[in-house]
Parts: sequence; C-alpha cells; structure tokens
Amino acid sequence: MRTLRSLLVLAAVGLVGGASAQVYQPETFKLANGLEVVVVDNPRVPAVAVMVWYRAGSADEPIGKGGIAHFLEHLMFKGTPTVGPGEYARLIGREGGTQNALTSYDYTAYWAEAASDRLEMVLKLEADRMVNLELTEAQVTSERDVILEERSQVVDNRPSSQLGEQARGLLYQHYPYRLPVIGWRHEIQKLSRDDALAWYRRYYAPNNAILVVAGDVSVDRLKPLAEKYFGPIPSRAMPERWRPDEPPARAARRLTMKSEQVGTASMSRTYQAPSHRYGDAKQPYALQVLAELFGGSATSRLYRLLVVDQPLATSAGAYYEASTIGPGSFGFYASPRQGRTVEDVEAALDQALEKLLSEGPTEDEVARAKRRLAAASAFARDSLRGPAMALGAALAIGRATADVESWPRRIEAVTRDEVIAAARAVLRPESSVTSILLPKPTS
Amino acid sequence: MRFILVLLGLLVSPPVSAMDVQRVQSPSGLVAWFVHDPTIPVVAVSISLGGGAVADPVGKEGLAVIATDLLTEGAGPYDSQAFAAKLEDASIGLDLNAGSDFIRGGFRAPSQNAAEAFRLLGLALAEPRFAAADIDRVRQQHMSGLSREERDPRTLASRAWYAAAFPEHPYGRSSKGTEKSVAGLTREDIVDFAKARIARDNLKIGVVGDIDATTVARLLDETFGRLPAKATPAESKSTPPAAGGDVLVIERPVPQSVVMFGQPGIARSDPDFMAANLLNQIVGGGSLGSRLMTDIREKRGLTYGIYTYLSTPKSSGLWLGSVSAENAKVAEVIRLIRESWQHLKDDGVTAAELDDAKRYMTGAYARGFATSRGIAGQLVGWQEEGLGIDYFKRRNGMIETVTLADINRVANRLVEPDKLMFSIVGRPQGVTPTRPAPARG
Repeated sequence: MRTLRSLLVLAAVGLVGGASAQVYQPETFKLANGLEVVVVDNPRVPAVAVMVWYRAGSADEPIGKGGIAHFLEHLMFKGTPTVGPGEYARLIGREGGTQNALTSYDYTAYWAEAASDRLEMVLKLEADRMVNLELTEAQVTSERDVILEERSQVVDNRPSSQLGEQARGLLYQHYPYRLPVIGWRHEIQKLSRDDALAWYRRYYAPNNAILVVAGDVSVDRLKPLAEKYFGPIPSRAMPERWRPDEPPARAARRLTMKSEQVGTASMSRTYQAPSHRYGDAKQPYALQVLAELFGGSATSRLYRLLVVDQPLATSAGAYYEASTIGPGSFGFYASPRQGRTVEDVEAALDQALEKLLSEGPTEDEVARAKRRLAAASAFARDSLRGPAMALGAALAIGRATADVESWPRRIEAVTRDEVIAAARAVLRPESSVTSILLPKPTS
Repeated sequence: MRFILVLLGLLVSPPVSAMDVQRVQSPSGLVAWFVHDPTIPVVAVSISLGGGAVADPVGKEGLAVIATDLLTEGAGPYDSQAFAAKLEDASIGLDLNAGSDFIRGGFRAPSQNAAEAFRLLGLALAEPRFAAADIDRVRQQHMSGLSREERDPRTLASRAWYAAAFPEHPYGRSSKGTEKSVAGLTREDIVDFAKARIARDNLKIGVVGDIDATTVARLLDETFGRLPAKATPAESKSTPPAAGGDVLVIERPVPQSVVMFGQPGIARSDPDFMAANLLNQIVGGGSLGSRLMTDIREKRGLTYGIYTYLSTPKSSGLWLGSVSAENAKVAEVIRLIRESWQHLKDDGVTAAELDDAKRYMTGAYARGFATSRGIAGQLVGWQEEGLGIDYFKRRNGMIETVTLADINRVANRLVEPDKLMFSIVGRPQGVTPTRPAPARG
C-alpha cells in the first residue's frame, strides 16, 4: 500500500485547484505549540482524510545525505513505544482505513483515510509518531534495502526516469531541485539510523507541521481532539529554511540517451520558471493559462499542430509546475509518429514557439483557456483527499489558504498581454534543457 | 467477537446503506440506476456495453480498443477538434474505453452542463464519424503505445502470463493487439464493430449527482433512445487459466526483475467469493500489512512492494500477484511466495487475521463512494455482475458472516501451490525456466 509513497511530483497541484468564488472552502486555526490546522468540512461520505505535512523535503537535505527525507518517511512506519512495528498500518486497516505517505522536494506528508468516527484514533497515531519514533538498526538496514528496490523500480528500470533525473541536474545549476528526491544509489547505501534520527529530531515538531483534515469533520469537532493529542507536544527551535538562488542561465543544454528499453523516440524541453514562491509572483497564473492554451488539451495549439494538422507526432503537450518554494519549471513534450523523427518534431515545436513568442496567443485562445481552468473548480470538492493534498502542499511551501482560494479570481484576471510577457520571460533558449530519448537496436 | 463485528458494521455502514439507489425508467423503457446527490453541483454518468476485446475477430486484435477510442474523436455535426472543443468548453470529462469483456465509460460534468454532456455522449455512441484522418491518428498513437509496451517489463510479464494461461481463449491475447493486427484494421471493421456492440439491450447505465429523476428519464431517451435495439451477442467460453506451475523467463537488460505470478481463482458468482476475497486480503491485499508484504518487504527488505488480487473476468477466475526484486534476489522472493502459499494451504489463516481482514473490508467499503464517478461506476458494476440494486446494503453482511471454518475450507480448496505460475522479465539469477515464454498473442 505504500507504493505511491515518495517521489510524488505534484505536477497538477497548481491546476487541480479551482471554484467560482471559492475552491476548497477551508477553515484554519493554530495551536499554542505552533501546529497549523486546516479543516475542509465536506460531509459527502462518512469518512475523513487526515494529513500531516512537515516542512522538510529533499531540498532541505545536507550535501552527502541525499534521500534522508524520503528514508525517514519510510521509517516513520516502524513504530513507537506504544505502537509496535507494522502496527500503524494494521491499526488503520482494522478500522477500514488506508494510509500512505509521500516525499517531495519541499515537504514530507503522511495521510490516512478512515471512517469519520475513527478520526480520534488516527489523530492519536499521528501525534504519537510525531514525537515518539523508535528505530532499531535491523529495521533501518532492511528498510534501506526496500528503498534501493524502490529506486530500481521507479528509476533504474526505466530509461525515461533515468533521463529525467539527469535532465534535472542540468535544469537547476545550483538549486537543490537538481538532486533526486529518492537520492543517488551510492548515497542511499550509506544512510544510517543516526542520519535518520538526526533528521527526525531536527524537523519533526508541531511548529514545523500542518495538520489537514478533510471530509466529514467540523472545526468544533476537530479542535478539542487536535488540542488533546497534538497540544502537549512541545515546539522546537527550527533551523531557518534557507535556500540558494539560481545563477543566470547562459547556455541551452541538451541530453541524448539511447536505450534498448525504449520503443518509441520522444523529446521534452524544460525551462526554469517562476513559481508561487520564487520570482515574479504574478507570472504563475499567466503561465498556467499559457500551458493550458499551448499544450493542455486536445484542442491546444501544440497538439493541433503536431498531432492533428501536420501530423508529425503521436503526442504533444505542455506542462507547468508552480507549487514549489524554489524555481518552478515549464515544459513541452512530444513523440514522433512512425516515419518521422525527433528532429522533425523539434523543428515544428520551435516554429510554433517562435510564432507564439512573436505574435502571442489570440484573445479567444486566452479566454477559452481561462474558462477551462476556472471551471475545473466545480470538481474541487468531488474528492475526499484531493482538498487535503492541495491545501497541505500549498501551506507546506509557505502559501496561505486565502492564496489558494483566490485561484479562480487570479486566473480570471490574467490578460493576453500578461501571457505574452510571461512567455517571453520564461521561454528563452538559454534557460532550456532539451532531452532526447531514442531506441537503441538490441545488440 | 461476533457481537463486536456486528456492532462495527452498524457503526460504519449506515450512511452508505442509507444511500438511496433508484431505478429510473425512461418512457421508451431504458433503465438507469440513479443516486440523487445535490451536495455538489456535479453530475456523473457511467455506462457499460457488454463485449470488449474478447469479441475481436482473430487477426483483428485491437479492434475494440481502437474503435472505442474513435467514438470520442468526432461525432454528429462535429469533427474531432470541434467535438473536443465542445467538451472542453463545457468542462465535461468524457471517456470511453474498451476492456476485455466490456466497453466502459461515461462523464463528469458541472450540473449546469449535464444536458450537454448527455448530448455529446449520445452523439459519440450513435453517430461517430470515423473519419480517415482520425483513424490514422488513433492507429498511430496505438502503434506508438504498443512499441513502448513491448519494452516495458511489467507489460511483458503480464502478457506472457496471460498467453501461457489462455492458449486457446481470447484472454490470452493482448486487447491492444499487435502492430500487425492494428496496421490491418479497416474503417469497415471499425464501423461493423460499432454496429455490433452499441445497442440498447447491451447497455447498463448509472447516474449520480445534482439532477432529478424526471430529468434523468428524459435524458436517457434523448441520449440512448436512437441506438439500435439489439447487439450481436459476444459470448466467450468459460475457461479456467491453464496455470500449471510453470516458470517463464523473458530476458531483458534491466537491474530489477519484474514478476507476475498467479493461479486459478474463483468466479464472481461463486458462493465462496467473499471468503476468497478475505483470503486474498490476508495474503497479499493492499492495506493491512499482508503476509507477503510482512515476510518479503518488512522483514527482509527484498522488494518495494508485493501485492495479490482476485481477478474475475466474465469467463474465468484468476488469483494474481506482482512483485519486483533485484535480479540477484528474485529467486529468494519466488521461494518465499511458494512457501507462503504452501503454508496457507496447510494451515489456513488465524481468527485474528480473519477478524482484521473483515474489519478492513467492511470499513473500507464506504470510501468507494467518495467521488461521483466512483459511485456511478459502482452502480454499473453491480448491474454487470447481476448483484441487485440493494447489493450495497447486503455486501458487508456477506463478509461478516464468513466464519474461520469457511475461510479455511476455501483456503484448502482454492490454494494450489503447485499451480502457481511465474512470469519473470529481467535477468533473474538462480531461476530456471520450465518452458519457453509463449510468443505473444
């Protein structure tokens, strides 16, 4: 059940948001020890999603300890003096619940879903492991092997993941997003129990955490329970969350990888971009509109041009990741159809980009993209865990709930000129990394 | 103990069993199962049409999958781009996909656009265009996917397993076909497919959301009323998998071996199905710290994950599992799975394990109703499987009444360590194949 844990690059979080006036309609309060609490009262099913977010991710790791945030995430299931190894999953499961966790660049988060009358039990377990984790050497050793298997499964067995890992190392020249969340194999092999406990003691405290509960729950019901279980946990002095700035990008970068494991050629190009917390704070909204109109759907420019009209490619699209503390990324991808090459596809992409940058999108393209994005908010509450994911991720990178809730208005306010300005600012060749993945004939 | 279980059932179940599922019948006689849920302004619809890739003629594998994809690539007055724009502009998520036994699909739409979503679904089913350029594009996309999958260890392991288990049955073929079969499909094939499959007597419908029953009844006729009355029957012969303990190896230059394993399972209609379901939950189900997960991951660190599941295609029953492990360690993983299987057959499960599994399965049921599309999908699934409109009220009771004697009888009946068949992709060390992996169907 923990397969999904880790490496979750929440590419969609910036886009899942959405409602006409409001999106998720959260309420918030804060405990005296600094724990932030977010409640989304959404009683469609008699269940709750409980998430605990820690403001500590792989980008906070010391050099040489790559992967320790994710390693600790795994070890958080090993138990406490009152909850034995493996008991956490069993106890939640016995109540019909399910649980997992995830680690990303800027945060680590734990979640459980259970019937709403089991809320108290879940809170008790989460509060317990915030402060009472116990680890033996044997547990650490075997879990390290599990993580090496995880790395094999999600990276080393997959050429596209390997290339993606290499490409990030070039997209970010200085910022720690250049390193993989799961860590490099040779460094994972050296991570120890002491490393894990040092990380735990440094970052796991109520004043560095956010509790989000969504579903069949109200503030009145949650508040006394949060006070009872999390309230007694003392806050801790937190290190300043320092992050470096990226130097200017001066040269387009390019990688090519060939593998026998690749069946169809593909290319992607990624640019460093502002995020909700890095660079021009207004640009992320214009860039979301840009990604949508240029490559976000079957009627987007890029798909139409490359896949439908010419046609050169079997797939083509654009994406934008803005939910990060450091620089975000904006990218394109495409895969040539039989008889066409990556060069054909890349030339067509370049042409489309040139036209976009010189002429800009039409007013109609901007209007349609905005409408589509904003309408997605109708579905924001059609999910138990979705709201907890989106709000938790936003708060963990230092955004406010009001900022998330204002999303439809911010999208609505985007103008064509802003889209053009954002495109010209971001889509510069010198800040791009182009990755080419090619089949290699079996030797 | 029994008392406590019943009590728990009462605690968890009422809100779900309080859900009101209505049978809505249109003036022309079309039926939908319907749940009125005005809590959010959303309408979701699921549909299912009997007969998927199993009905593909030999040599035309991939037909159901490609033809179904093409239904949403232009219909009625709209070409492919115009159809997509209609969906996008009304924020309608609409999809139709063919599996082995069924074509399934539906939509989720803001409730103010529900009528438009019904209209577009109706057009896709009744008036697909199947334009040459769209056929070409979708075919190319599938070929590209096939070429990718041919090198994907997980897909390779699965295909080899099914090909070996169903040498004579369509389940042994990939529903996506081969590059050759896909290349040979004609527009006529695709048109014939739509004519044969898409009909009123073949259709199951589930509707959920912020819409009233009268409107649903009217929209059923407007949407589906003009479909032909009868589909061509697409029956496939009931066939157990020919899993006879073989070990298949497909050599690939990857550091980690990817394994699919399995044995004959149980039909959905078998009275022992719920006991088998609990048994699977204990051995390799997802959420409880299953036996396999505990032995192989937690204690020994040999894998990132190991899971088992019951698969109940219409004409068979399978008990399948998947795991990945470094090439040097996979032989040990296979040995441990076999040991675990033997232990299960010999000793069954404990009362505590059964209790945990029951509590999980009964308690988890409510979460399947967390999204509109999820509920609509359940409504259609119950119709496909003939479970009855009150199934959700009875389901937890069926789990709670399974006794330790029942489950251990079923363990003894069902578990067949000698029949466990393994399909391994990678460079597994210390593993000897018992026969060559079958050529892909």
